[in-house]
Amino acid sequence: MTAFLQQLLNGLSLGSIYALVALGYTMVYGVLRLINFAHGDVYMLGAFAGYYASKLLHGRLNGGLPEAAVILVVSMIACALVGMLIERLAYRPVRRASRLTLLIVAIGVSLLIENLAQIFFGADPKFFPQILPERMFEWRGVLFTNQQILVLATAVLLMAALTLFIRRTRTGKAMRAVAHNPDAARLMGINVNSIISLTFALGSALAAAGGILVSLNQPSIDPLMGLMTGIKAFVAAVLGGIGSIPGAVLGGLILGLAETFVAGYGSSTYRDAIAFFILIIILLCKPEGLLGKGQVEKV
Amino acid sequence: MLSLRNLSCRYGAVQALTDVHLDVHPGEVVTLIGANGAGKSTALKSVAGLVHPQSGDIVFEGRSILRRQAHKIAAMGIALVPEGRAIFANLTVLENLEMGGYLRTRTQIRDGLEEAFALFPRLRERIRQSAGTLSGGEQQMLAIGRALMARPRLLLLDEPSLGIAPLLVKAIYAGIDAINRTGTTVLVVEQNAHLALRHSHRAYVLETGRIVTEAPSAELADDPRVREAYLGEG
Repeated sequence: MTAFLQQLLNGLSLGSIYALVALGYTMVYGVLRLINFAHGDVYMLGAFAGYYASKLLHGRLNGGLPEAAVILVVSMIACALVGMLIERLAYRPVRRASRLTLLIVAIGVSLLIENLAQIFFGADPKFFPQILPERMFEWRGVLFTNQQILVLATAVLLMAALTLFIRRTRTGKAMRAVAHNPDAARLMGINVNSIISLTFALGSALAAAGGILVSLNQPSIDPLMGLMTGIKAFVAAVLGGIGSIPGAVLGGLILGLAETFVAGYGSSTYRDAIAFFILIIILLCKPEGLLGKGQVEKV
Repeated sequence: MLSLRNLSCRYGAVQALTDVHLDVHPGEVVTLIGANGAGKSTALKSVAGLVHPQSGDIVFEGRSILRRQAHKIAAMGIALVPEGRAIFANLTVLENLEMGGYLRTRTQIRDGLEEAFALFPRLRERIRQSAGTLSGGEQQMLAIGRALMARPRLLLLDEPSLGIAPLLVKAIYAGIDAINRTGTTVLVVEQNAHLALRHSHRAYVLETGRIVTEAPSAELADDPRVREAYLGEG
């Protein structure tokens, strides 16, 4: 039982990271019907933004939560700008082209970011500063760290804020309107370009948060760290039903739990394979995903 | 108020509109009738900025709106209720109406909601419901209510009676009459010529992208050629 609870906690912590990154895939897909393959690289840029921000801040804040919070916010803002830039420069010019063109552009942007990152940051792994020294707690035999708590709390907070924004605010509702029918949204006076831009900004900021939270736990960061996480978060988004926001969260959690339990009870060799196994099963059995809607043809 | 001048519009090889002239004066209900594929929807979409004609001009309240983006045209006081209604099925009825008032203040939205419910009381009953669950007629009411939330000076309606139960069609056209009485100018496109001529001041007939006739609606309803071609008589 203790081992089970331990795995559950580890799985939720990993899963909430996948969920944060998966949200960006699903939000962009919602408004553009585009799989933004560069999204995993934005997650990587988030980690590097945090790395450089902490270097700049060094000594000015005495570590601990305030510094972690500042780094998180700086990195989220930086990546929001990067996300908007990617949309403006790469996707907007080809928005009316075929889906295949868009997909190829997305892969190109991903490769470009990875290679630029290797040039500017260097290809070697960097050591992310230990802003929050790890502290262990024990509760009935279950071990958890202050970092796991931070990951879970931040992820829950960000997801709750996103949900409130999308459900309650005028701009959030406009985002859903654009996802459903961009032309009708324009007739309401909604500037569809700004909404798409904002969607990229929000998705990228969440990916950056994921990058920072992971780096606090596993301090080695490198320019290709976004590849695997990006693919897994994408699987999480498809699993939950791409385009669905609760689906992305659910998919992320399921994937995180599946990975941890496979590693914990089976063999950690199959840890990464489980994501792809799940992907194949979904594509065969429920291609629209757990919470996805069957393709509704617009009349 | 609105004037289409020498308007021509092409989709690839298909000529949808050729040299169209059309005027709408303040306070009028003008209808554009014609068969399926005559170019009626294209004319409305051009005004709303959803399609961009190749030549000619569209002037609204003295300013050319030909090259303007759709959301800017909406901000100028033109609202289009598109064919097929295009409600946001994933939003609730209330949220759809709020989107109609996207450019307005909270108080204006609150007043607008009351007006929309006064016009179509059925909407109030369904306020929390997802808009996708409404019947076709209710969706049309919602689409019109949503357009009115912007307080447009010119309301464009594309086939408001299409695919809707006869009883609801009556309610919808009664609503359109009421909207016009409050001073809103209306341009309505219809295949159902009977209905359109009964509820308008003037009418244009569009055939394969060209305006062939323009006359007061009552006169046109008596025109033997129109009766034969569009009213199924003769």
